[in-house]
Amino acid sequence: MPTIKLQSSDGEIFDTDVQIAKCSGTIKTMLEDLGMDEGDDEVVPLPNVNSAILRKVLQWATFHKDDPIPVEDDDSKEKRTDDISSWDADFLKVDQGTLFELILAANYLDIKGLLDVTCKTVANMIKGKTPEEIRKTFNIKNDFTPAEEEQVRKENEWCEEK
Amino acid sequence: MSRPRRKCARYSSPPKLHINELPQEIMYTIFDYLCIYSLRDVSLTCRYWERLISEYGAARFTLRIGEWSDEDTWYADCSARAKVHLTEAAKMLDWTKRRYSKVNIDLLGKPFETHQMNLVLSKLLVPSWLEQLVVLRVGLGKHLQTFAVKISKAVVKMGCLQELHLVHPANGSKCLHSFKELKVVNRSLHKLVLHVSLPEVIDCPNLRVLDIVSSLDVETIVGKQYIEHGGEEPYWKLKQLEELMIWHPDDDDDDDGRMIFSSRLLEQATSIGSIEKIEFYRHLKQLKKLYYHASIASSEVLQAICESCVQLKDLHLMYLASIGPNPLRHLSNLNMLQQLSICCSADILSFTGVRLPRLERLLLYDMKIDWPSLAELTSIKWLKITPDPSKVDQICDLLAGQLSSQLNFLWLAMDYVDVYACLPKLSALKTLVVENVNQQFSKYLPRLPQLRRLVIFPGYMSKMTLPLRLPKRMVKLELMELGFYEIFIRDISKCMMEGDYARLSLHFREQRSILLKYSYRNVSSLR
Repeated sequence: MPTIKLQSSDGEIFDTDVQIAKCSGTIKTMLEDLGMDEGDDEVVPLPNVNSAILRKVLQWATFHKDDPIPVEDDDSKEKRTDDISSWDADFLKVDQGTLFELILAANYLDIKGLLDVTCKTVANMIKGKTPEEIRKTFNIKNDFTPAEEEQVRKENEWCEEK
Repeated sequence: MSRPRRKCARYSSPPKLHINELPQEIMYTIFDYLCIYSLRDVSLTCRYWERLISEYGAARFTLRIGEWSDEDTWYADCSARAKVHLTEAAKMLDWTKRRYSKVNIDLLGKPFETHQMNLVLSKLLVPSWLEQLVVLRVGLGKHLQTFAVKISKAVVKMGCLQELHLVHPANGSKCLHSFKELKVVNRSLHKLVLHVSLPEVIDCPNLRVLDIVSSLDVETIVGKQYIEHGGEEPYWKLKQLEELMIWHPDDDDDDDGRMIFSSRLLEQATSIGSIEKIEFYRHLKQLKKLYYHASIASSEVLQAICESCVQLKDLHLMYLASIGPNPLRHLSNLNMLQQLSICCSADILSFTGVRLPRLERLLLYDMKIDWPSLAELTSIKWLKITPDPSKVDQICDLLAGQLSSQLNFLWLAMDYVDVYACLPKLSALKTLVVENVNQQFSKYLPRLPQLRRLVIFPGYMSKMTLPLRLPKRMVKLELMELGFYEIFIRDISKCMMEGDYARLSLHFREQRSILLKYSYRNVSSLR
């Protein structure tokens, strides 16, 4: 099976199946634009992804390599978050820092499926929580003055979904 | 604000990334998964997140003025509260930093006074707002007349306006419907919804969708103008329209949920008005969707529609008056037609000799139908019928015969268990909708191993629980939904086409675990 070499920001080289690497829109474009051929000894540098995260990303991509291409849904309404597969849920049982790193990597590498499922996971961490609980979850400091907070509360009353 | 950024090297032992280091677009992607209630809580966490929500919400949320809970209207000091509400609204329009692109002013049926309305409109119809409005809904009731000039002048200046709704109370059928001073002139407008309030002028080169609820005979009025001006479009310029919906407002004379047609209406449709209506439809050559739910379609009008609007993909007719041979023969002109729905017909509806090569969805309401003739529609996959108890044999023959391998969606609007017997023969059936059923229906439903989705609408007043044992007989069932209409709408057909209904659904997942979900969806999503 043809492979290519991916280099993480900290210099580690990952010998990767081309098919799996092409899960990433960014790598796919690079290979096509630069005319890199399979079998070349050239290394694809990925300066925005460290080795720990790249390893996770490739693990995800390997499991999902046969997934159908996700369709763009233009539905502006709230999207579902209750459809995370059990494999993905297990895969994403990581600390918050890693989860956010995975989001950045999925965004940079343009892997829609991974970006969707990681964003859903964060959304699930917010759902159903009070503002104070959200602050606690993400270690956010409340920098509102009481007057400002009241203003936001008032502002919120004027808007509705539809 | 956000904590100091740590963009530098994440190499050796990287510091833990904080959520505020995610780029804005990613935060917006996360927000897409949250409902407004969660987003309100998010906005209350800190200044940075408030700013994110403000910017994000400008496109997603609607600023709503004039609505408060129904309980409030029971207060004796209702008008005083109305006054406070609008005063607060005017203040808010001054201080708000959120740049809403959707605004809904709903001042119908509440005791608002003109000068207070004026206060709010004066704050809203200023250049900064006019430039950011994308969707505007204005419900001023009888006061629309007072503000017609002001609104007309503002609409011209709305540079990115896509959707405009002008709403008038539907129940006041005696009051004013047409507004001389009201002009809808705008370059960007794509969709116009006129709820009882008709403007004098519509001149929007990008208008593609027009949705009208009116008790006036719009087609005749506009068609007459076209005739008088030799085919020109003097007031309403509609040549570029792609979707037209014309509804008759709910009348108070049809209590049993069905349209009752007076002989006067029938006369009107078949004699006067026809020439004007024909002229009206001759102008609409670009139409792809027509929902004609306002009056009776005479054979001549249907012929004009079928000859002029040859691009139609979706056609809905409320009442088909047939004079002479089967008027459906004109439909053969509509090569592109994919969806057809007919509510009522004067005569037996027959599809004999009707060629509709692309027709996929057919919705037939309660009327006399020549059932065997449906077998000629070889492309339909989606069928809604109201079984006629005296014709059960014919219906079963049809379903089990010609249509058995092509239908993947079947909607039975009446509960006749005799029809169930033929369902196992529908080998491609994925979705079954049963309507007006009672708790007993599931006993009669045979084994349907091919079925993926079952939607149940209980009959009026019938208490219903989900037949949880049913999935054992439907081994591939993934979703079972129990729907009930929020309000018992008089005009059932309208509710079918566009009404929201509350839905309680059960998902049968891989592990056949059950998830209860309560959601509001549009019936049109049943596709």
